[in-house]
Amino acid sequence: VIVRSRVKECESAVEALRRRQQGAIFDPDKDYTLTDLRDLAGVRVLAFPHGRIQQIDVALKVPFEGWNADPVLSEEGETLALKYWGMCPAGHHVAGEYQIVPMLTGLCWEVEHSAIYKPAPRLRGVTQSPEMRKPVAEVLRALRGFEATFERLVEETSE
Amino acid sequence: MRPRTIEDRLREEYFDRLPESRRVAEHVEAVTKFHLLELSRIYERLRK
Repeated sequence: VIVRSRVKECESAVEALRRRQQGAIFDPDKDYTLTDLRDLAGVRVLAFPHGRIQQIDVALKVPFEGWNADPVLSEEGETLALKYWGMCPAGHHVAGEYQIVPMLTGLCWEVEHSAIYKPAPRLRGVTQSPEMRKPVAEVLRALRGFEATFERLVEETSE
Repeated sequence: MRPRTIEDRLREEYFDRLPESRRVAEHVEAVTKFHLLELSRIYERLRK
């Protein structure tokens, strides 16, 4: 189990708020605040094998009682990761978020995130293109398959 | 002088809120690690 925290970077936060607006455009007559973002400050828990996700979820429901569930879903509606957000004593305006993610999926997201946000702006179109979405979905499916098979084999050998 | 854009105001807000954002991230991380300590110990024992 790996626990990592991060604060969203400035430009990512502005872009995330922009994407939430109608047509992804800021209305000059409206007031905006980054505190509307639920993931400005967050934690990602990477868990392996997959079976630990449920145990971690149960363990964290106690300290984060009352936080709102907002799971990450695939295009097919399958749950990719558990996600919760809410207010904590350390923040009056900024919400906190935590995600519980299968480790291989989470590590793949980190590579994908780096490919989307870190390279030159001209490459962003490539990594976010519909053509790339298919292989990314296939990789995530393969990683889930790997975790499921690994877990099944471990259970069989320990019986 | 060019008027400030919405993005400029949001960037200013970002850096105003950065200390609070860091406190929230560190708080959630600390609470998470504390509550997963027991699970981690169990997993560690299983590995041995």
